[in-house]
Formats: sequence, structure tokens, C-alpha cells
Amino acid sequence: MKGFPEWYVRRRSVALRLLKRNKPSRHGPDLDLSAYEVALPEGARLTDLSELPSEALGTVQNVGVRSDERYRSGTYLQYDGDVVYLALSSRAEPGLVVENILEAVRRREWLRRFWFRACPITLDKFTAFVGAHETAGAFIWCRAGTRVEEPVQVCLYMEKKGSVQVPHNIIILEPGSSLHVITGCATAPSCVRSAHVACTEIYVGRKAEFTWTMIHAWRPDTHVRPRTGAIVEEGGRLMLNYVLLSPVASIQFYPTVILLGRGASVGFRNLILGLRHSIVDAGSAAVLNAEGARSEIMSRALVKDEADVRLRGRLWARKPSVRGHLECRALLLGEQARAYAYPSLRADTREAELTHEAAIGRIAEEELFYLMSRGLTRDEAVALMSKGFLDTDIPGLPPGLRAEIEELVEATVEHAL
Amino acid sequence: MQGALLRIEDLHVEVSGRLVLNGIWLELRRGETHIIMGPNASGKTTLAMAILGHPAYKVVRGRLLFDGMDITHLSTTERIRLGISVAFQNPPAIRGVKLGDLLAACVRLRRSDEDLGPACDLLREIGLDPRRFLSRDINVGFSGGEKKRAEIAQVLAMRPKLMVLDEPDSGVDIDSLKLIGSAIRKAARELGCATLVITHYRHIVPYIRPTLVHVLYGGRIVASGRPSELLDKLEELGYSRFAELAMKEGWRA
Repeated sequence: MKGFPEWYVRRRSVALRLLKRNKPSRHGPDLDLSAYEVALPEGARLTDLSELPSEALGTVQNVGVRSDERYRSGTYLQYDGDVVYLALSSRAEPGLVVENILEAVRRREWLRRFWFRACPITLDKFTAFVGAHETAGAFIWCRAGTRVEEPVQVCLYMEKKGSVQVPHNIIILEPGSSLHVITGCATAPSCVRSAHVACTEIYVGRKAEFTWTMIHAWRPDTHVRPRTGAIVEEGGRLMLNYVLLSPVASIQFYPTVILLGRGASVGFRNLILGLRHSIVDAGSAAVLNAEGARSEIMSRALVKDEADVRLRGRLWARKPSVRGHLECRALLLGEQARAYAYPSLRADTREAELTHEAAIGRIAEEELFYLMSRGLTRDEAVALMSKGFLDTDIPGLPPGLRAEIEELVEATVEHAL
Repeated sequence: MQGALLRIEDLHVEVSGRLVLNGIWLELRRGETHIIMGPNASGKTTLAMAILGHPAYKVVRGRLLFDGMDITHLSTTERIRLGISVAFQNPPAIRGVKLGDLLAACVRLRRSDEDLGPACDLLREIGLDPRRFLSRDINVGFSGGEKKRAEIAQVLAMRPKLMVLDEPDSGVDIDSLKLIGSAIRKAARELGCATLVITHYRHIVPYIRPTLVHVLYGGRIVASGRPSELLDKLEELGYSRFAELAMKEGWRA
């Protein structure tokens, strides 16, 4: 731990002790982390994204990473344990900072105040694992009033067999700033038996606006446990979009957002393709902890083959005049497919308005027949209804990014069906 | 018989094990417009669905000929490719599927490109603003009249040889009725297609100016004739009395 401040070294040893308790996650299948080798930095660097091997290039493009870096303010690319590429565009606003988190903690003492605050390290063994073994991560800092036009792209790519990638991301938006981040996570086709355990902490300041869009494409034997926590101050707006495009061995997440300031809001959009033998446990939670806080959670899952998808949502109203809506919908496309919805609402005050809607169903034959009566084949009709069901119309995204994501999802749905 | 685009011979159709159509005979030529009138549960929608080939509507006897070809056992997709198109009485509302998606599918049937220009003209003509309606989820939150108009626009966009319109007039106000009736008549003339309009009421008849009117009762056509010959009598007697007399006296034209 040479070159690291004392506080950081101490926190890592605390994390190691916590890890020994082996506290399981509340949801999803357990995972034996000792079966994986942590992917350590080896000092690899690229001077240009085009230097990526062609296989890697194709894979990361499928999760929204632009190798030409056009229409991007900055790029962070992590290849196994190495941050191989880190750059800001010449057009990037001066108040934007993108660094490797392990470089950032050496230089910025104040980061200790943000270290495992939005996401408690005691949550489970996965947060402890990140605290003890993190090898890199994106530190994105948007200074007060900086409105970043073009999105920052973060890419986490895994290739090493039998390894676990352990990033810790911290994103800080100071008051009045705004930013979009698109994170693409993917595994190389050759990356057998790997895992991804990550922690992302998001701090949205007063009247700041942050949109995080995450696109995942894993191998069918990858286990994934991302942990996300966010704190939103007065009038701040956070939008979390999640898209799962590929089969996966198992993935479980439950990002929790605390709306701490008056009028703060958070929206969640989860679009999940449950394919083959995937086990997906996708939750979203918002704590409405200030007057006028708002939250909307929307999860859609298309469940095919023998996939098992669980959609969870939790809204907790702790202060008056808050409002929240929660929607979980799953469409079953296979006889063996399974879907579960667990919406949960809690109000500690009389003046809260919380609603939820949950539905699991199959495509209605009458609706299919209707579409076929307009000249579509059965397969085309199923694909059109599936795409329509996933509803890629994500609010709050700049039009360019929205079109990119729509295209990715449509192409994948078409391919998957 | 030569010249008939659609010929229905002794059609018997079962729905969930119950016989609904009980020997329908009908012949429709290119350029002709016929109206099928009948009370609720007389088998009107069953006839439309049997022409379209809905799998839940089983032909147990008789056959359907289209352009001289036996289509009784063809799939819906094959029938549509031949040029049959049906506007539904109660089209389903489907979230996430846009009216524009469906119009594009209709246009693709007859053209290799997906130019929605002519389809937008159709929408405008029938009183649906394309800027508002193309991107709306099909039938979700549409009023009764908007649903009917959207159905007709889709059917016309398919440029069919035969269009079957199942109650294009139910639940719409007088202004819509006039607009819908005139649009049907104009399109039928332009496309030169055969048109079968199914309805409860006579109100749409003057706008469509059909060649023949058929009265469907108890799964059979009990009378056929020119509108002037049948409509007043039907209005005076009501469906059940009319059907009784028609069967006794053999009013088939």
C-alpha cells in the first residue's frame, strides 16, 4: 500500500476484517468469492481505443462504447485489473474530472468523506470484498455549475479466465452541475468462469442532474454482483437506467437511493432480457427522506428459455408530501421461463402517496393475431410486441444517446428472438 | 363462377364448439360494395374472422374462394398476401406497439420501401393527425371513433383487393360516420376493390351507396337485395319479424 494515505490503508484493513464475517447478500444465490482470482493491475496501457484487439473492440461496442470517442466527453476503459485508457475530449468542459479512483485517493484527502458513505461497506460480503480488494474504478467529478453536454463513457471489460474484476466507482456532482455517464460492462467470449463485483457511489448535489445508463453483456457463466448507493441533495435529479442484454450465470443488484434534500427525485428504468439459464435478481429502492421528494421505479423483463427473473422494488416514504410509483412487469416467452415481482411500499407519514403496479403475463394470442392481420409474420409480431414491451423510451437522455441505446436494444431483442 | 372475387359456398363455422354460421352463400365482385346487416350475435363478426382465417373460427363445412382459388385452408398471413384485409370491430390496445409500426407493416405488404407518406395522407384524410397519432400506442386511450378511423387507415394502407370492415360505424358520432362512410366509398372506388361492410344500423348506408344489402340472422343470410328494397321493410319490422317473414317467403335476391 505504498503511496496511499493512512486513512485509506486503515479502511482496507477494516474491509478485510468485515470480509471474514462472510455476510451473505439478502437476495440472489450465494457466491463463493474464494473461487476467483482478483484481476490485478499489470501496467498495460493503450494510446488509442483503436489499439484494442478486434474481438474486444466488437464486444465493447455492443455495450455502447464508442471507440472513435465521438460524442463523448471522456472515456475510462478498464481491461481486467488495468485502467488501460483514460482521456477527456478536447471539447470537455473544464469542470469535469475523470480519474482512476486509486490515483484520486492518493491526491485528494477529502475523498475519505465519500468513501463507502452512499453505499455502506457493511452491507454484505460483496461491499466488503470491494473495500478490501478494489484494484481500480472510475472517479468522476463534476464541479459546481459545470454542465457537461456529451456523455462520459466508462467501460469495464473482462478477459482473464477464472478472475474477478473489482472496481469501485465514485461519481460526485457538485451543486448545479449536470452529467450523463454511460457504462458498458462486457466479458470477452473467451473469459470463462469469471465474476464481476463492483461498488458505485453516487453523490448528486443541490440542483444537480445526473443520468447513469448501464449496459451489461456477460458470458453465460459470469456471476455479477454490483452494489450501488446514491445520495441526492435538495432539488437534485438522478436517473438510473439499466439494460441487461445477454445471458448471465447470475446477477443480483439492489441500488438504493436516499433522497436527502427537499424536492429531490430519482427515476429507475430497468430493461432486462432474461435469456437461457440466467438468474436475474434486479431490485431498485428509494428512500424518500425529504419533503417533496419523488421517485418512479420502472422495471420490464422479457423472460425466455429457462431464465429466472425476479424484479424487486421498494419505496419508503419518511417525510410528508412525497410521491412514488413503482412498476414491475415481466413478459414470459418460454414454457420454462420464470418471473417473480416483489413490489414493496412503506409509509411513515400520512401525507405520502405511494402506488405500485406489478404484472406478469404472456403475449395474448388475440394481440398476436391482430398484428398478423396487418401482414406481420408470427415471429415479426412477437418481436414487435417484445420491443414495445421493453419500451426503450428512456426519459432524460440526450437524443443521440437515446437513439444509440434504442438501436442496441432493438438489435439484441431481434437477435435473441 | 367467373368474375367473383370472393365466393362463399355453404359456409358453416364453429366457435368453441358452437355452430355460429349455418350455411352462408355470398358472391362479391371487384368494384362492388355489399353490406351485411344483422342483430347482435347473428354471426357478423364470425363471418369477418372466417374470411380472415382466424384459427379459433373453424370451418366445418363449405368453402371460401378468392379469385377462383380455394382459400378455406390457407393461413391468415397467406390470405393477407393475396389481398384480403379486415378492419376489426374491437381491435386490442397494445402498449409499446405504435400505430406507425402497424402502418409501416401494412405499407410493406405492397411496396419494397417503407415510405409512410401516402399512409400519412390516409390518416389526415380520415381525420387523424399523423404528428400526433403515428407515435401513439395502438388503440391505447383512443376514443371509439379514433379506433375505427385507425382501423380503416390501416386497411386502406394495405391496398387490398377485398376489404372487410366489421362495424366501422359503431360507437361513432354523426360527423365521424359521414367522414368514415365517405372515406370508405372513395377508397373503394380508387382501389377498385371489393368491399364488405358489416353493420347493425342503416345510418352508414347512404354514405357508402352499396350495390347490395344482405340480412344475416341466426347464422344465415335470410334476405339480399338493393338497399331501397330492404331497408325500409327492415326498419318497419325489426330483425326478428323481418327474418321470420323473409324465410317464409324466400326474399333472397
